[in-house]
Amino acid sequence: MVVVVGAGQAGLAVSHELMATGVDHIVLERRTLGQTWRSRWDSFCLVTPNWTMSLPGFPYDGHEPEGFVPRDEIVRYLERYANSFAAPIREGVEVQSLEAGAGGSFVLKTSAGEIDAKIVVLATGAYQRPHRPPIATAFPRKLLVVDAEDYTNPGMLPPGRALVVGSGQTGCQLSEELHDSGREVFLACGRAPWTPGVSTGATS
Amino acid sequence: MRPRPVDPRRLDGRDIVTWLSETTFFDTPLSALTSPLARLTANVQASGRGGGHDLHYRVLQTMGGVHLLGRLTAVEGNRARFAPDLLESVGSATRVIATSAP
Repeated sequence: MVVVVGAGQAGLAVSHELMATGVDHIVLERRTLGQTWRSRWDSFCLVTPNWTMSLPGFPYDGHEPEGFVPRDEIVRYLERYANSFAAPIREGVEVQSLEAGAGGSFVLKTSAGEIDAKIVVLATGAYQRPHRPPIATAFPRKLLVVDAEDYTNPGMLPPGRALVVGSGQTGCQLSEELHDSGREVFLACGRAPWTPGVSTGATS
Repeated sequence: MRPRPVDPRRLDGRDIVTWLSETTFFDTPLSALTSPLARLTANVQASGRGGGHDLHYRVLQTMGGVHLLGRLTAVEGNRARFAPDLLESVGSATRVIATSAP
């Protein structure tokens, strides 16, 4: 049996392809399908156009291919995808360890007991743990320090000026939202990599 | 003609990601990149909120009330220190790989 770890877009796409070729498998999900998307802040919208929601066998079918759906619609797309081929997902099962078993197989220790697998696909994504630089521990205790993954909306923060550390898409978007909520914002810029600019020769 | 500092959200009525896709930017396999670091350069400085818009440093700066600073280097009590490297950081985001004739 094949075990896929993680029911985000990668795990679901693998499941879809395994299903199409008749390979017996299960998808283990620590919490709920599409959890990382569910954990985004309240106003989050897709940054790439809607048409990029196009997993194998399930192209975007909405009316705004160049629009940007909000968080909950991204989750809904993934739910519809999983339902479209009855993905064999077991939610709420956390994989705690993965070890070599007998005869080249694997043993997964999970919150629901041990599972033997011939093949394991890791589709856990890359951003489960917030990157909190050591310097963040130096802030005074009375100051609220929030990781981006725990941020929901400006209302969760006490009134006053805000410092955003990091200027990737998240840092820029949260700076904009905090500004729109009437706060003075300080953005500590880093070197988040961006798509290189392309000259078109057109006037802008 | 001056090169654009960063990719705009939309160009000639189409989204920049649509352009990147149709010009096969995303089709390059990892093995064909000049450096593995190149795989990190696929984020657009834009937002999808409110129908989508540019959200690069210049947009933030012109909002008024968003102060761009260098990297956070130290926290001492109620004071935070920042490196004087804002220009370099902004510069690294406005790198231009292609320029056209005037």
